[in-house]
Amino acid sequence: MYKTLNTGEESPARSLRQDKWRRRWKKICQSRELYLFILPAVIYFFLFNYVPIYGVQLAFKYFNPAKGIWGSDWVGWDNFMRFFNSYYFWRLIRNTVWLSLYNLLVNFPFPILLALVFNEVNHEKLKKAVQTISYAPHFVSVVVMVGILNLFFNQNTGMVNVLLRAMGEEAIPFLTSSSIFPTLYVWTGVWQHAGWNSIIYIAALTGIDPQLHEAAQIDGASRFKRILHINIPCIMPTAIIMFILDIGRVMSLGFEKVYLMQNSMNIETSQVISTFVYEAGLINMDYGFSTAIGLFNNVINIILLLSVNKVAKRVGDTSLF
Amino acid sequence: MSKLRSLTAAVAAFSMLLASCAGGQGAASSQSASSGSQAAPASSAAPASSAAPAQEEKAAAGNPSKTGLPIVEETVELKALCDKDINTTDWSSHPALARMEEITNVKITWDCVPDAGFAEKRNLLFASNDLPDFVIRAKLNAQQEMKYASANQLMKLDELMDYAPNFSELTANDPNIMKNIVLPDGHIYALPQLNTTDGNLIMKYWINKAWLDKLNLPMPSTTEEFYETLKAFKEKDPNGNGQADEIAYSGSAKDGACNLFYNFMGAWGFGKNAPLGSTDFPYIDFDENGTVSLIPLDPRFKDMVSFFNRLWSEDLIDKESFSQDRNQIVSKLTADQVGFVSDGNNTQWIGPARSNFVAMPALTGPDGERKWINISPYVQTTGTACITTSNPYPEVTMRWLDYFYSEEGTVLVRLGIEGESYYVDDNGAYQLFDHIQNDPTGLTLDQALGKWALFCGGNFPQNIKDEVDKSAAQLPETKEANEVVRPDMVPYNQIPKLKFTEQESIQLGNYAQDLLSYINENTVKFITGERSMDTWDAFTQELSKMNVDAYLKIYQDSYNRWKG
Repeated sequence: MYKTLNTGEESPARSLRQDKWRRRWKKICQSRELYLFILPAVIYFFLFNYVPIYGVQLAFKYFNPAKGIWGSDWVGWDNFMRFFNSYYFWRLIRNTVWLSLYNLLVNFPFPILLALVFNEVNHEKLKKAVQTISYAPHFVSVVVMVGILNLFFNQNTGMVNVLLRAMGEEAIPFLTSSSIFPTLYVWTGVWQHAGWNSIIYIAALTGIDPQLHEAAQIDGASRFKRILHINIPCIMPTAIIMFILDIGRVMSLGFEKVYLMQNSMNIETSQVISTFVYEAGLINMDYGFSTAIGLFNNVINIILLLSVNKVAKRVGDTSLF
Repeated sequence: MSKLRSLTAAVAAFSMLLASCAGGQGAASSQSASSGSQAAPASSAAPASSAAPAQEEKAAAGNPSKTGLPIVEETVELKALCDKDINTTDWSSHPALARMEEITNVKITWDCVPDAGFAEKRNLLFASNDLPDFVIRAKLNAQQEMKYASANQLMKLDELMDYAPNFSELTANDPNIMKNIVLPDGHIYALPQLNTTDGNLIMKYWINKAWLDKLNLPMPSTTEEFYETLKAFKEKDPNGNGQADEIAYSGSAKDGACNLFYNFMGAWGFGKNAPLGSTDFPYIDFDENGTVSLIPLDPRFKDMVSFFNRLWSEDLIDKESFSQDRNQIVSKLTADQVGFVSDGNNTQWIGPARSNFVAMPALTGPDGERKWINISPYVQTTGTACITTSNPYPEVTMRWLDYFYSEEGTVLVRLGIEGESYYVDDNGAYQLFDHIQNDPTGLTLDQALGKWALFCGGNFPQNIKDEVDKSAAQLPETKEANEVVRPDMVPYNQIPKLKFTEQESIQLGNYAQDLLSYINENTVKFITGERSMDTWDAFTQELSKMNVDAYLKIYQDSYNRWKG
């Protein structure tokens, strides 16, 4: 397929590459229906996740709305230096990392446990009922959820403290104590999301080949043994993928719940990067500064995601990419 | 290929649509200008008139008359952003604004945003430079005002003063107004809410008189007596239910730690010369010579914090004071569990239990200091309305806004419409109808009046006087309460509304966030005992490392400019 061109600039390598592209294009045309199917998703991600990336330059600018994003003045690394030199920098990092890790360590295994338990329930109606009840709280909005929290854990009138006092204990300031905040945050998260998150594992469990169980049963394996040697290994790939995805979100905790639960008495542990960004950006209108912090946050997230992915690939042969 | 072509066509069509939207207003305005019966040249209609406001004889569209109504002969259309208070009905169909349209010939399309989301919406509109023609109930603070002004997004209102006959007259009679609204560059970018009604301006704290009487206690007059009173409230079962469920002092400090103690600061000698308001309190004080100082570095502040720490540790302050909202306090008040609250300029918010509560006088502190500092100046709120630079008819807008400073205007804002919500009695005084005051369907006064008037939530360019005010500020009990603290009040004209240059605003953004969080958090920790008072010196040492000098200099410069 070598063509002699008048310009003489075409090297053999280049035309080879051209050839490769042509073949690729042919392949694409052959399965155009499939490409049509993913087109909406591609457009969506391009419009909403790639186009806005140009806003990242704000991290290096002093934003002036009249000049716009492109026209604002460059300030170099000023916004980053301000964040790194901030009195609260280390506390923000500490709180964010600690709250996320705690959240991950507790919230990751619970759905798996729940799924394993559901899988063992034989009474079909009971199973359905319990499952529905367990994921119902997932649909409660965060604002309502925190409202419920406030009602239950109120120091004077909350049910928990009323019970404690009835038992002759001291009331505990759940909502206003910085040492209790992480625990309250994490365990109410378990209550709200464990049921919902278990669905994916239940699906994975139903996908297990029943022959494995039958064979084990014939060999005399107990229920526990079967869970240990069949169920858990079979859902491991799913679990690892979920874990990698969770790690990628470590630094970007859900902002709403933390912000709603925050008050001046628990701020010592409840001020995290996302609430700080909200205050700097939307309340104090310090757009450059808050973009810089957000960018910093995302860079850490990507590093975490890539490194965990690498480890998982090496150790367990499962990875995102 | 055909697919691609149709996509291109769609994109092209869409961009044309966008262009026609953006151009819509310009087209509409030129149309209305050229259709004016006076053969005014269309070119001089909108933007040119702002440059040369001299040739205003003809009242064509966009060329407003300087006095009298209607403002324009030809209807002018504007779009505006406003903050909607929960008690006011939607501005698009509000009778008071329909009346305004009728008398001024200015038709306004409202972007009416509920209070809770307003600041965010306004900030985003300004940040994306997608500006309305003007903003009312704009709630701009000094830094925002400066920021938008320096980004050239706000019109210089001092250049439009010819079109503000009512406001010009007010400022001519009271130089104090200008002093409090002018920005350091010498221009005015936003209009204030003026108020001469004491009941609105003087904040008070309230003590449970029924409990005092029951326990046979005198009204406390010093901080030590106050402590003894709270102790008696806590221990002697004044509500008589046999349970120790009394809360001596229930604080409302959710939105700012300083709200717990702001009303007491005068007893320790703070704020007696030029108090800065409790919202976003900067912990700044000025001495007799006008020299600035940072309050937490003053040993008297340590003294005050340890006083509150003592109250807290003896369980005299509600443990929920830093986290509860008003509703929670009201339910405790209604259950007759509370002895003292420190919020509001009248007792309406207290609810059914309000008849038990009376204002407590300013207390004398341990060093004999006594001052009442929680008051607003006559220029009660700044930044209540602004005109943006994208407004095609700034003169018309200015005249429209200025109407509210007239007596009829303020009456429209505060009392609604004559014959519907108010009437003028035989003595010429404004009176609300009974069905508004005691709504048959059980609405509160503000809710009932909110259907006809716009005053709810304040932050409105208006001139409030006792004659045109029918709010709770006029109640006899409120007037009585004013007199309780009046002898110790800082004079109104000593209360500054500080403004900052663009550079200062940026610097404040840099320093203030960490500095104020550090002070606020640690003050709370000291009061609640989470941090021991023994570590106070470590706190002040750490604090003095945090750019304090630069922070103080900004406030010193700003105060010096204000003082003139």
